Amino acid sequence: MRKFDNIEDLKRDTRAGYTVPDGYFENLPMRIQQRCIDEQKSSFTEVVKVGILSIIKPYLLMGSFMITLLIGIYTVNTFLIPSDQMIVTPALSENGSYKIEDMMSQFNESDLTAFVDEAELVNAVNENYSGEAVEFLIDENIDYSTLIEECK
Amino acid sequence: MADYSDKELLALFRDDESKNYSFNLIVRKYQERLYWHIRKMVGSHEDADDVMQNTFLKVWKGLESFREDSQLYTWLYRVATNEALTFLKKKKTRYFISTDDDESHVQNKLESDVYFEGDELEKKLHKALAKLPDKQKLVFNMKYFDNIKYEDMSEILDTSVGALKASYHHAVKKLEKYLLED
Repeated sequence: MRKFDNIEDLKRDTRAGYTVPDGYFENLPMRIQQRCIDEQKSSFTEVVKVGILSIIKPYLLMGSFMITLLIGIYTVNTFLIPSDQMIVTPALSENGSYKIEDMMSQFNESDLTAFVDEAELVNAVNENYSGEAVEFLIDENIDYSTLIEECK
Repeated sequence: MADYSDKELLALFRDDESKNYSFNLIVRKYQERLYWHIRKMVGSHEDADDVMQNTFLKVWKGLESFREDSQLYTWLYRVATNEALTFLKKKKTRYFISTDDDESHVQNKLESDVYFEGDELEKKLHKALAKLPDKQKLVFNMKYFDNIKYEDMSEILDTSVGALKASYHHAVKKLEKYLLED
């Protein structure tokens, strides 16, 4: 090994003992130029992608929300509500009004009375029906659905 | 190939028609200086090549807005230096290399590096340099190997001339002590 007394004695070569492969510096400018071109192309593509995405993103979100909502409504309607409780639009009669029998058949007595409290029910009965008719119904233990059947 | 000044090269670069030609000339003019500067920092040829490409990519993107308040070569050196330091920082974080490992790491690398032809004393110098903090090593390399003036170094590293002189002085003392130990 060379004798060392002072750092200034060492050969001051900018390469400091390192070397490069043959032809490295001849080819480097071309490789760097190609890399710059590739980088420019990929950054342009990125800008276009980001631009398009930022425009369509809100519409995509809105669309997916609507689809989810519709699927949810359909699922609830189809699977969660029993068929006998599903609201079915009554058929129209010839003169355009709904057939009363069709309408009434969808409801039972408890459905009707649920919307009316006891006081209102008593008042309605008192106003619209004679006491005889009510007493008759009670005495004969006739329920509402039976009455409808007999009217048909 | 015509020999253009830095001002002329910058003017050519700002013209769209001659931009690529001008950039090619800039690369050819400064590639060796920047390469050896980077190589002495990072050690291996493969790493130096990566850092070189990243450096010139930054130059390509940033040259348009270069304000010419400094010389072109000091600006190029600054970009190369920052890229080399960033590379070293990432490498140390990624591979958990501590400063204590640097010496044996450098020794092993030099022994196996086909692109190192230095003698035993140069190997020992590199081992000693590996013990220095990165910035102090940088100052030493730029002064000792590249003979860059302190004023230019101050622009490149954004450090005062006094601090650079002190850093170099301490670096020399540490290296001499290590090299004389055997």
